Amino acid sequence: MTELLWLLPLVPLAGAALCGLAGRRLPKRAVTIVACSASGAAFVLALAAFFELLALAPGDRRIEREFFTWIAAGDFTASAGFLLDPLSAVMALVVTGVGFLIHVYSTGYMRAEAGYYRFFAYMNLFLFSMLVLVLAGNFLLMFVGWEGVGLCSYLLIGYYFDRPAAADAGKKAFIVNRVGDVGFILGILLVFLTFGSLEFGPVFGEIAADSAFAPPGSGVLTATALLLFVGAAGKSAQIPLHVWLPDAMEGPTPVSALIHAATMVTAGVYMVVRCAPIFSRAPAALDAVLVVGIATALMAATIGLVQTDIKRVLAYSTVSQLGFMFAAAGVGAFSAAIFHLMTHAFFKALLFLGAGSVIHALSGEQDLRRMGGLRRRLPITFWTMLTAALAISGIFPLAGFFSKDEILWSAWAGGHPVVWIVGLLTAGLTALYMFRLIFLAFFGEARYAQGVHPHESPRSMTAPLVALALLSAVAGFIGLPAWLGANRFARFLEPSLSLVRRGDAPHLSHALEFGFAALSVAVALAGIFAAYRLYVVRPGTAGRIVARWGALYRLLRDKYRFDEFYDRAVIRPVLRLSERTLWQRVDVGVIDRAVNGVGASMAGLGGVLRGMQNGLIRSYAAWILAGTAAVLLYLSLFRN
Amino acid sequence: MNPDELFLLVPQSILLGAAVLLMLMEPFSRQAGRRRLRMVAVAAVAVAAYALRLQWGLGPRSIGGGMIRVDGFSLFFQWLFLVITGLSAVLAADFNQREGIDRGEYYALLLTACSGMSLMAMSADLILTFIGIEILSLSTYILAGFKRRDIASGESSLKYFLLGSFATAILLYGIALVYGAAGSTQYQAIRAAAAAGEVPALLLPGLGLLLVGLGFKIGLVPFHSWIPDVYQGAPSPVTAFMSVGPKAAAIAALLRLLVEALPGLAPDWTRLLWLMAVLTMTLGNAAALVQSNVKRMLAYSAIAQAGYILVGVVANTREGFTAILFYLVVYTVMNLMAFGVVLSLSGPGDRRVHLEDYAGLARRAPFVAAALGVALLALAGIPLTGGFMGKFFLFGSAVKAGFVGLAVIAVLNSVLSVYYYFRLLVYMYMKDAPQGGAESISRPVGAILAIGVFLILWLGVGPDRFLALAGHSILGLK
Repeated sequence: MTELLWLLPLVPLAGAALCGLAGRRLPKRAVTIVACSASGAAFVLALAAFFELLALAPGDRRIEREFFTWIAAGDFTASAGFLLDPLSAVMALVVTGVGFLIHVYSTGYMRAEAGYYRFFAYMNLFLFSMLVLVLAGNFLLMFVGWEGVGLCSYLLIGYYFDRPAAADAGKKAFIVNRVGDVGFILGILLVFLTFGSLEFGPVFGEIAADSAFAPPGSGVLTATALLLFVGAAGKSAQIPLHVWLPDAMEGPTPVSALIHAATMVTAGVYMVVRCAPIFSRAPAALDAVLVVGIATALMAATIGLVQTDIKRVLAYSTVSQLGFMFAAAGVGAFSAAIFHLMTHAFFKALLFLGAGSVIHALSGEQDLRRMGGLRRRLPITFWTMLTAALAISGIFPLAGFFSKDEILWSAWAGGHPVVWIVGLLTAGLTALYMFRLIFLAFFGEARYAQGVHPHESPRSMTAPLVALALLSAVAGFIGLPAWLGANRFARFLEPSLSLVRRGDAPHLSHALEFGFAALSVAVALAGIFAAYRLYVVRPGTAGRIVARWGALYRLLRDKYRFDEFYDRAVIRPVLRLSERTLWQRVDVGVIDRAVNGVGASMAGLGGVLRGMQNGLIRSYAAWILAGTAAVLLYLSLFRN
Repeated sequence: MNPDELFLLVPQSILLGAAVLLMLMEPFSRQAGRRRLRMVAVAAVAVAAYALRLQWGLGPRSIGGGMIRVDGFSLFFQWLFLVITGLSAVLAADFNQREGIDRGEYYALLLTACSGMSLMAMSADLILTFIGIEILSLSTYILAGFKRRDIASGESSLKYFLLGSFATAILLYGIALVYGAAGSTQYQAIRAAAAAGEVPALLLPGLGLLLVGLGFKIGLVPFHSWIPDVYQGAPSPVTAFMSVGPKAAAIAALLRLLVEALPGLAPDWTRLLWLMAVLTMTLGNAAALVQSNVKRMLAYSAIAQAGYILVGVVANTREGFTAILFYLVVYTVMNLMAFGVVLSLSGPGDRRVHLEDYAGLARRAPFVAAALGVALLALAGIPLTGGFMGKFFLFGSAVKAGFVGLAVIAVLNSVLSVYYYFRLLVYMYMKDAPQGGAESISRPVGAILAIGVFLILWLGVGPDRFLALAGHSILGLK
């Protein structure tokens, strides 16, 4: 299989090409078959690669395949090559597995949409780009995938391009990500300038050897790590670049599930973990990752408390969970970050798909205030979403419990008690906003419009829900904490992180770890109980709290006014600069005049030349003769 | 000559033998049997290409008492010429049937032209270079006038012949002067004469006149005046051939002459060619801006492209020469694609060649429009196409050799050229068709376009293999 590694991304690419180029003429059924079988085949290939990797000895689980030398200019060479190691294998499995389930779901959800083939072409293209990103063996190819997933993201956010909000959201995502990408590009440049290569192997090997020109903790490594983190923060929606992700919910719901929850937005986390050899030797940068991550986790969770749009609640939840992953990386628990990335992909994709099922059932209604009582109408959706909500809240023994607990424990064990407390608080808030959503949507009285008759979604949509619910329930067992058994996930990932620099872990007792786990479950249960009191037992309480803490409520509702701040501090000044100075003065006054001048003079020259081209042989011959004379004259006159 | 040396001339013999065979077959074949003639030509090209393959790796050889060089450089160009000739024969097939000029001589003349071009690339002696140029020129003079009943074709042929003879006379005069100065027409002897102390006085005017003669064939300003008229009047497949084959052959001859015979005068010829490169690109592009006839526009575009290629000669480094060889491959592909579309769409009488005729082409023939679009993007030098990579290597070599000004002018010219290439794109994609009706192209032309699109993208994304091949071929030059 590993000989055929190149096939893995190429299968979805072929699917994208087929859907995109011929899709308009194909029947919907054919598009469905092509798109789903492409993503399904990619999943099978990823599985095959995974098992092949598993058959090797742990130390040999690193397969590099170089396909061709991509660019060779002077000293600079870049190859198009893939790197299959435990880290990229896990990512490829998550991407193709969740991707396949969401493709199946989309065949039901998007059934009635115009441009059905366009949707699947983009989705397949997304899978291709994401696979290039995670399998890339060097920074440059990774960047190609990075930009590719970005492109698919903008295209799919703006899928309903006739809706201004969707088009604006696409633009916003594009611009905010540009800021992050500048950091990423500069980081890549710095890597090349420092190490003279962009291949992961040599660069990380050099760093791990603690080379003289980039010793651990040096300015170069810190700057590189910080720049790379700017890129990661853009893609993974961390403060202050988080503003695009909630708006991205304008895209179709399966897109929100696949791209803006399960896979693409986690690319930043993946990148940081992939570059763990750099980050682990740049403590200052790692601290920045930690602070930004945990602050984002808390901030987004508080905003999620007051959102009324079901998809926006989930969007802020995604931002918050991504913050958790960065916090994990920030305390040096890189494998915990990837573990949480994986479990999160399962339950967050499930939550989004469930939300899509609800929206679908209510003919497009997304406002939580106009839902309610759907428990009996949508039983499968309810039970699967409940599983996911319990998982994300960190209730034992669902997947989220293990991954979140590992992060919190690592924070404490790594000597960051403040992070642990904030994390614990955020975990409680997570349970609160998530069960607020569940109670508002599925319990209480029906508040949706008269004449809407909710009905359970078709099998093509509920089957992926059930599959993801199973994964959300059991996926945690591959990463058991020490007091329960062995963390097989961390051990599997170990070869990918062998170059990470580690401090001495203090030895803490299993009993303490167990106690902490019990405490975090208790906090989560408290959050659920609070939600139950507020939204089921006494539905009026929430209103009274809002009335009492009006200013705080408005601050949360307005998302800490980041958008307003950017509008005033960045957008308006830039607009003013570009309109008054750049456009009216520089462009019209200088550039237009120069361009028009050149154009006019060239057209004039063309006209003169056309006059010279009079078709007469004798005048042509005369030109040749005159030219010959000029050549001889020039050669002899200007001789030094 | 011993049998070993004869072996090296087998490809030429195959071409000429096939040409003679075609002449003999022509009177005896009926209209329906013409396909066979074409097949003979293509088969000859294929066999010759195979024979060349056997010579690859033998190492550089000199035969014919030092007149003929068989090395990577000549092999590269011979292959290029064979590809051009083969493709021209295929591209011409439908067109010639449509226009009623599908005769055996046509293919025979293509083969003799190819053999002339090959001699130009192999020659290490001014006399042989001259003979190669003449074999090529006489073939193309006739080809340009192949549509005998068409006034424009006749005019084109006559103009080309008269002006070509004029330029040949100048070239011959140049050869005489160089012989007078060096006492030999062999490149190595000329080089030795220039190296021994003082440069002989007659060598400099000799160089000037040789550059005029070759410059005429390449189409360098101010010796380009024939190109628009001849390209426009000649049958479109002939124009396609002329725009790539003879141009590449003349550049091959120029490179060998300058590098092997006249390196001692390098300061002089780089100075002169610097100026000619600037003039050629700028005037070619400026004139192309105001053309409304697509064939004529492509003619001026071909002039401008020759200017870009000259940038590599001015650089006078291995990198520059490598870039030239690479760019010639790209240029051949994109120009043959563009002309392939033009000759397929030109309709009865080869008349529908105006910009308006391309309005709405994207709707009438999406594949053809897309293929032409890729060719135009490559000609304009847009990234991800081979055209971009080629220009990048060419201009980059100039920068490395210290000719930053020239590179800047070349880049500005490329920007300028975007205007007229994109104007055709605008017509194809953004204007409505005046009348409906799907266009059809023959299957072989369609196949060539598809392969061309693939090649252009390949050369644009992964140019390494071709670049290495070009770099290897250059090693023969010394």
